[in-house]
Amino acid sequence: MISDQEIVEKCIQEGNEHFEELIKRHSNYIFGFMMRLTGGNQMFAEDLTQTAFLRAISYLQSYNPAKEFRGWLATIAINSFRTEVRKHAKYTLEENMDHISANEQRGDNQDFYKLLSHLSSDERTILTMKYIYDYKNADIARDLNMNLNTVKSVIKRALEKLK
Amino acid sequence: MMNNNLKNAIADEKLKHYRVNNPNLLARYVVMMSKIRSSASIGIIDLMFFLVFIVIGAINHELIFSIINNFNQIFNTPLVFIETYFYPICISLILVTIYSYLRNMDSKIFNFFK
Repeated sequence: MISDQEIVEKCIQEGNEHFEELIKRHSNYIFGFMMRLTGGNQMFAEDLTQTAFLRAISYLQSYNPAKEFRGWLATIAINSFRTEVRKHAKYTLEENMDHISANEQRGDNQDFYKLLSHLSSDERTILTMKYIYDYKNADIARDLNMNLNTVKSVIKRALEKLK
Repeated sequence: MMNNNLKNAIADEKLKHYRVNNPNLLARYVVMMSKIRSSASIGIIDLMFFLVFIVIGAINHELIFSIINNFNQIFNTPLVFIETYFYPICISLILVTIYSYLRNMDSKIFNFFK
């Protein structure tokens, strides 16, 4: 199977048509990531997945083939989420609780979403990255463009809130 | 430290596999949107031709005013209008054709230079 890096090279040289394969490969991963960050808001997660792929196409020239493509894509998606939250003040607690109850009615297990619904979007993002996707603190700091000590204190504060 | 509730919730969440409804449709939509986006953005070619049109327009401003003033001829006596302004019309069409051709080639040209 052709690697992600080779497809990226083809996209740059021959055109964006080749990017379709990358979207098919990684859309579930990115969508899952966004579902967790948005607390199960499917519409918002779908929008963010699209936005992340569109941004990835525009920034494709800056992709470093030495790094894992999926991680690079996830960083773009996470930053898209943070930008959208800041821009539109979306994703208030009440809005999130509506989605949780809607998902509960569909019979999904919502423990994770419920617990994290009391956190700020940054706290939720960092906890999701650390405990669901096993990011190291230094990687979180680099991807979110934050100070390492800030990341540590956000994790500590979030865990305090969840006690 | 994490409490047990959170530990269990995280363990359960890790086992979940989310799926996009239609990845093929998403892939096509995103690629299509990326093409629309790139064609809507302003590039070096656009700026260059904007300057070219401004300079040519400034040099031949009398001709442009004359075309605007006599534009009603295109409805009354179209052949006279075309005959009078044949060369400016041809030059404009050639410039627009070159501009649209280069704009389509835009991304390939810049890939070549990279």
